Amino acid sequence: MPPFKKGGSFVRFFVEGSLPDVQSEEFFEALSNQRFRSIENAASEETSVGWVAPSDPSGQDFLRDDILLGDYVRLRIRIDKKKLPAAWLAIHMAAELRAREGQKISAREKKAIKADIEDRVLPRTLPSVSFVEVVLVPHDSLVLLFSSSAAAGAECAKLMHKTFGVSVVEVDPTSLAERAPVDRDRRQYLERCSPFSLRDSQQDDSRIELVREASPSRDTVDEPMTFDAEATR
Amino acid sequence: MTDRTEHAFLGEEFLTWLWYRSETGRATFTLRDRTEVGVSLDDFLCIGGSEDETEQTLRRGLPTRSSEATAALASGKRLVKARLILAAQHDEWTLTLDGPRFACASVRRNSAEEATDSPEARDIERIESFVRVGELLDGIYTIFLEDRLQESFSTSTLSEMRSWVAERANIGSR
Repeated sequence: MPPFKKGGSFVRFFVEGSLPDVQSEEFFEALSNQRFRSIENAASEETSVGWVAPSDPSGQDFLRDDILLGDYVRLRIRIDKKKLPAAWLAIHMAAELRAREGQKISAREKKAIKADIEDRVLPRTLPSVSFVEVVLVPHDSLVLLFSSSAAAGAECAKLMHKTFGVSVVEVDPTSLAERAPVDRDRRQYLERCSPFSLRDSQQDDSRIELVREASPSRDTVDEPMTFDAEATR
Repeated sequence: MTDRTEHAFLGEEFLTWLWYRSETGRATFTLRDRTEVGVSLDDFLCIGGSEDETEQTLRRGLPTRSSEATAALASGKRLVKARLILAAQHDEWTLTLDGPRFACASVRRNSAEEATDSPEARDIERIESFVRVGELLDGIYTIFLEDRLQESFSTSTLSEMRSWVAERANIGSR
């Protein structure tokens, strides 16, 4: 099994709802139902997202010893995307147009040629593959996602819902403040709390005075800049 | 349904408050579980958070001491992202905290891992390290909220923070 990363980036999610017991058959069945499914031989552009175990990138097996680590569950989300590379499409399209020896081709015909190229080339095109590490912390109802990408976060949220029927809420200043162990007065104040500014108008004025005192020659040396055509003539 | 970005500004305020606390020598916090955490700002700051949405990035050296940082604070900007050093018990981490998202980037544990021959024990220790970083940040954020979410905040802490900014600006103009 590949070692867990020593450092990196992560975001967290609160789990809303209850996860099945991670030791139970139900938990492993739920994972297996949402395991990654290959799109290697797909003939159209598509994306496949699903769970895999760290030691098995195919998504076939979820062995207890692989994914249960002490109080944690270590998983990966595999995201495959099959898309015809634009450069290959251009090469095949140029060849098709050359074969028609300069005949005028309508937009509809071009579209049909493109579809034909996709049908022929996509089954031979390998999808791009990416893995995102995920750690479930069941006793804290938390998910750690080792990516700061919003797209990965959205995929994780969808997959958690499909797999375990739970919603997840990203840990951010709002969700943390709503759950913080503060008293009722503070919780009520949160509702009407608005951003503060460190700029104090009185202090700003006094600071301007100080800057002027510190450099008295500034006013006399620097002429105001103008973009007035009359003035620059 | 709650708008998730509704209180995103609290993340910027939290980082700016941490900056103020670290420069005024009050950046050691006792969390609810009695853990003592020390925080300092490292060599990366991203300042913005005002209405014009312009952001300024300062890196390397001592960005917190730069005149650009002072000018940005004096113009009403807040800290959007910062590289932080967290120290608790025998552990130390550096990380970049994105205030509005509370996302941790480039997290690195500076203290040595415990020597073990078991890959499982090593992986558990690494996962626990990430979980711990989250817990420490949440604990400090709660202390910030206890200060921030009270009517007297503007006449107490905010007033002191404004004096801190004004003092920085005065020193810079001398």
